[in-house]
Amino acid sequence: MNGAFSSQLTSLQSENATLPVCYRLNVDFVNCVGGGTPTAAAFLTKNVVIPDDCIIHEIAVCGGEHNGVVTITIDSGALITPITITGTLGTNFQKLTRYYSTTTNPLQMLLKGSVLSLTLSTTNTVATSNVQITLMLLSQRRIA
Amino acid sequence: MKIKTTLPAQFQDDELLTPTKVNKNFSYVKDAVETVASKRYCYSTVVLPFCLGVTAISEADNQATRSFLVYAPITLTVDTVFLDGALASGAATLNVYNASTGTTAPTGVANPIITPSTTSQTLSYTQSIVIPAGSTYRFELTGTAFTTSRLDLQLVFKSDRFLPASTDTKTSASYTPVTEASLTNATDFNTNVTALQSAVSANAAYTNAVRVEAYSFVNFATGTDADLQKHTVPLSYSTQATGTVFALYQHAAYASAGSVFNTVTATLANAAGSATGLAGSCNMNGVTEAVSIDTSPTVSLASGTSGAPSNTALDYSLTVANNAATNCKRSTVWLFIV
Repeated sequence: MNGAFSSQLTSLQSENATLPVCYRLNVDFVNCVGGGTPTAAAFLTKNVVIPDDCIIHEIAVCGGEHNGVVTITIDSGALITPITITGTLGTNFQKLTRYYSTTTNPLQMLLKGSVLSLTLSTTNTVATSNVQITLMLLSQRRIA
Repeated sequence: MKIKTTLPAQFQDDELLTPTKVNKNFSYVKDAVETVASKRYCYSTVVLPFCLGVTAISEADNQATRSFLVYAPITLTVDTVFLDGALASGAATLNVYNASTGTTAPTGVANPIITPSTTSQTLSYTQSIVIPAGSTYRFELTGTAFTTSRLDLQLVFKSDRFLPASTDTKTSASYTPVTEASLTNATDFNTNVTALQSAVSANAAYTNAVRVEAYSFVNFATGTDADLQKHTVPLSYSTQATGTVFALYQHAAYASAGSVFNTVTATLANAAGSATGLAGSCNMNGVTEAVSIDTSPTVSLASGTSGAPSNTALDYSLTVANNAATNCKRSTVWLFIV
């Protein structure tokens, strides 16, 4: 249930203290080509392995040179309800409205070792654009 | 009907369920907490998982080698290395070296640590790699004909840290910054790494709670991709996100050496766009790779108001600018925050 990589991560095995940690995962998409050829489409999904049991705290998206609507879908198989963030990025660097776990966005937990996939789709073909996604994950560990 | 049940042996001890026994257990926990509180610091192995930005390490940029430097102001352990993606063609290997230059593998590590294939998958290297405080290790992908591949590198770190007692305060007043330096070679760099490490070690408050964040930038040049040179540093409204940036470390690389004389500058600004005094310049000076450290700033990252998730003013922007038309292939910036 913890995913294929849980046993490969040793990060929780030796800790013995209570400490809430908000750590982040940065995922960069560069040269985002929308509409995509098979090659381009293969570049528009990235997978990250979750290093610790955590909840999804915040998600921030920014980018530049895009001038189109971008949609990021974040999923982890059946472990979470997929999160979709969408918005328009202009030609200048700017940020989308940040995602938070609130009463309207249910609190979701990710398990250590699970794989989170981030898929980007766009409405504009701009080879020099980029989209940067920051996942802020909150981990609360217990005394062993 | 009477049902006969037999409890397992460990549950047959009546004392286990008596109030006396329960109280003893609580007392044990309380004593432990009090013991901890009586000391200024409780040394503990605290896992600090964080990850180098996941970014494609080869996307048609015609480089046979892509390297990422990992600088450790405190001893860091690379818990696990993940490489996700596939080679479009050709062959490649992921190696780790125990310095910013050279090809010596860390003790106990046999290169290559990961050999990607043309099958899309997530590969891992699970043997811990300890990076001593003050040193720099290099993760490098080398290969042939893999320029259109997507390979995303993810490093999961952990660190041993001191846990500050609740009465401990983290202030910048007692921190003596190291003289800022812009460096062009490994010798100068190592000298300043030592100085930075000494400064960190000399101040317990900084050693206790240092937070490391890494950002990657790829493929940018002045005049063409100006809007691609920024990366936001979003802050949480939890207390974990506040702090002071006390050092910046940058590694930049160009496609080729030559007569170009330029710099790659990293700056941090608040939501209003105001410079905050943090700047680290990689003086390329005709070399293909350079590193720099800025240890003089104490940039305060403002805290948010709890429960104010719509306050995007808490975002800071980290900008890496290239002052020449020559394409800077990549830059990795590390922020050290307490």
